[in-house]
Amino acid sequence: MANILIIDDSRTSRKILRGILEDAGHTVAGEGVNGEDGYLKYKEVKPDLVTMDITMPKLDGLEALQLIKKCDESAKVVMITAAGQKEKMIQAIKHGAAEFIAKPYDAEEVKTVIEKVLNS
Amino acid sequence: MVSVIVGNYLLEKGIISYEQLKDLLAAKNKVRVKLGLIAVAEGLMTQEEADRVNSLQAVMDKRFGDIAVERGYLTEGHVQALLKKQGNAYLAFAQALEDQQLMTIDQLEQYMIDFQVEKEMTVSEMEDLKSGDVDRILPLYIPAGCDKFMNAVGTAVRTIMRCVDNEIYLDKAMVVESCEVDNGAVQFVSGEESISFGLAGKGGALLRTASVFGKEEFEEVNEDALDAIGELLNCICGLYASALSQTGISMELLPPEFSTEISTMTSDEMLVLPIHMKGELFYVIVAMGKEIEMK
Repeated sequence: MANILIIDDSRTSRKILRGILEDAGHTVAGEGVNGEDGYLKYKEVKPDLVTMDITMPKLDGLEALQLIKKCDESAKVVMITAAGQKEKMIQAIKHGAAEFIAKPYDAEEVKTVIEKVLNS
Repeated sequence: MVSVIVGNYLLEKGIISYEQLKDLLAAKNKVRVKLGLIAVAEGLMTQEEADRVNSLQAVMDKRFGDIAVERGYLTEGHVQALLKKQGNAYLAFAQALEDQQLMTIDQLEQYMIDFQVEKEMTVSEMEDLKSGDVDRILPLYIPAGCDKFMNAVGTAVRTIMRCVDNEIYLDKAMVVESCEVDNGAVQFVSGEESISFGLAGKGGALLRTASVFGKEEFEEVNEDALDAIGELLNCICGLYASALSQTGISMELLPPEFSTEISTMTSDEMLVLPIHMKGELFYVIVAMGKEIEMK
């Protein structure tokens, strides 16, 4: 089971995702409330995996992804997207995102994607 | 949606009670619509003929359709067409009314004529309503000349029905410059065909939506509850942008914004669609090409 950092500006989204991850036996090592906060939390907790919302104030998910990959090339970052963010998804792949999860969350999809990335 | 529309009409007229409506809405998902009820609803048989076939069924080991064809009430073609309508939501509600001995389909059809007259609807619009198809029902609530809002409002209504509660009904939408509300959330989607979506209400109108979508029992419409409303908007905006991307139009979602203390939502031209959900009334708001301001 893994230590996971959730980065999302929405309290609702963080709470639902935390529930799914903990139900799957993972530990939520921390929560970042925007890209900047998430980047600082990443350096602090050094998680096994990060879930990163794309649409956030201050640093958005793409900018935070780049900062995290710059300081840790092996970081496993799963992007959280609303549907319809195709351009952002392409950019996230370029910057090293491991996978994507779409909102609204489907618990089984979340668990499958997280397992796949952790085992990669 | 059609069950809630018809059910609330019967409730408003004092024909059924609130408790009976709740029971009917729960029962309609489990009933098996009988062929006889559909045949009467379609005007192919009278209630008496259907009752006669039902009585014969009690003493003959045959299906309703076979007996009705033997007796010359229906053709094989009719039976096949009627069987296809067994999943219809309006007929399922009618069956639940009949099963609970509240009224026959004949009586319901009489009330639906009153409904049609009162709402000034055409025969074709009544058919759209009874189809139970949200995409056919929604245009009945959008003012003439407002087709440009249809896809966006459709995405919002379908998402609310899928993620929160499918037992909603609507009032006629209006195109206005401002809407008086106490709290709500808005989200702007920028790009070639930029658009703003809003969800807003008065008092605790958004409480249930926030609680169901946010998977948390909120006691008031505070910032946490509106955060959940913002996330619901995010899903609506994402799905709308996704559909546009299929036609080569690229859009970018900005983060949702929300406020617990506002008096109006405004924009140059916005469509406001009132939605009733479990006794509460809130609004889906859409502005094409402009932002919606919370004041």
